[in-house]
Amino acid sequence: MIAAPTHHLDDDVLLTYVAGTATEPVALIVACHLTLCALCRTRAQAAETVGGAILDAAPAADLSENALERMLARLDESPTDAPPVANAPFEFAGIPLPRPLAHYLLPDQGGHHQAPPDFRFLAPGIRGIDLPVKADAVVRTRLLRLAPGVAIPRHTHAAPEFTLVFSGGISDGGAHYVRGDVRFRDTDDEHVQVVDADGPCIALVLNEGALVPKTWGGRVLSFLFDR
Amino acid sequence: MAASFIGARATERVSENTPRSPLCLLSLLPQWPTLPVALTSSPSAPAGDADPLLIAIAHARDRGAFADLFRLYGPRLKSHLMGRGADAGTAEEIVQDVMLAVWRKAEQFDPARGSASAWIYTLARNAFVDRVRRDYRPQMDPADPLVEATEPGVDRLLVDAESQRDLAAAVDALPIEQQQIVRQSFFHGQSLAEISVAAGLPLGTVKTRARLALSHLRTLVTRRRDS
Repeated sequence: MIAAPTHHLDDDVLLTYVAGTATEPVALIVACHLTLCALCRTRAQAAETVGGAILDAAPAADLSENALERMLARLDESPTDAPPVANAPFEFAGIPLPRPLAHYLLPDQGGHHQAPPDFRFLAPGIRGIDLPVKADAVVRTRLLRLAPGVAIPRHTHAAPEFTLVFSGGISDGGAHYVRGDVRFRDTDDEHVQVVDADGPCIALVLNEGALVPKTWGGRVLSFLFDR
Repeated sequence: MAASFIGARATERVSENTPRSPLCLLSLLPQWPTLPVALTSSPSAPAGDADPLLIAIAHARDRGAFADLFRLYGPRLKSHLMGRGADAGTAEEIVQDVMLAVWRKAEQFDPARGSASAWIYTLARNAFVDRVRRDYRPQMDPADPLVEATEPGVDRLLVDAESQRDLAAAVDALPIEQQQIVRQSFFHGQSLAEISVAAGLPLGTVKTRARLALSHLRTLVTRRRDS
């Protein structure tokens, strides 16, 4: 049993996920956090109950005359076989990761999985894999591998940033983030992040826009990072 | 300066992508449409009625129970899907798909994880995203072994019919500006960015209201595990 996460999703983000209006990268962050966090799963179920109440209250629209007959006739259609479900957790880079990531890290090409992608150099101590998530061009969804002790210089963001930690830890603004913890930073939050010294950190990071560096070191980083 | 530039760009992007269904155009009017009708005054709000039908389908493959469930939910699903922007013909096709999924997956319905209407709501949401928006949305996989490995959360979901009715009444009783966000999200499938543009409100204000609404509604359907 792994300790429960202590940093959670905001209610507005959960609401968009449950309403089906979150963008694909935000939905990925939420789906991965929910996999690791029972507290937020219950919160999401409560939001689904709200969705159910909205459905119950929907006005009744007339269905076509033979709708029920057509429906009953379809009950005996044989279902297309669902693919067998594996019991083992999805593992990548030696770490068990939430299953929603498998779709992006092991894209299925006509029944053949492609070779798993490699972490590429982004900046000293920072390697990443760009996930093929459908989003605007400025949005970056990456699985990052940060070297022990790496410090990301002081910066803000032109758009919100989500970080979800899968292994290791990051300190940021007095808080410490470990497996399952999610951190949301809005545009004007200036922050410095430092990776724990005792091991690398693997995290899913969603930048909805470019970094805005606040130091020369940060400027070099943002040039490298936003390539 | 930078913030206003970003704001302008976001506005442009959202308006390009706003679906142009007649219902969505309605929502652009300064006065919000009051849809759906008040939850508690709905003549046959089926809160709690669906659970026994669904259980009869799961345990006995009861076609009579399924026909009753179809009569109860078919017309509501149709208006719900049209509220999200599907035309009448497409909505009716999706109703058939959703109800076929209800028949096939009834065994997966777990009353401890939420009401029947919440479950049917999530099936409809997924079918709409697949078929109408043709988007992929990552979702948590409840069968992921990592889900089982997490510590239980401090809260539990209340699934009794009375809590469902309290919740429906509470949606009606929300301050109007919060109620609109809940309805626009769950009934019309509008993102918070779209809602903020349509209402001429800053995105931050819409997010704050969404948070207030959901955190309040959640208190009605969850309790601390030890209480």
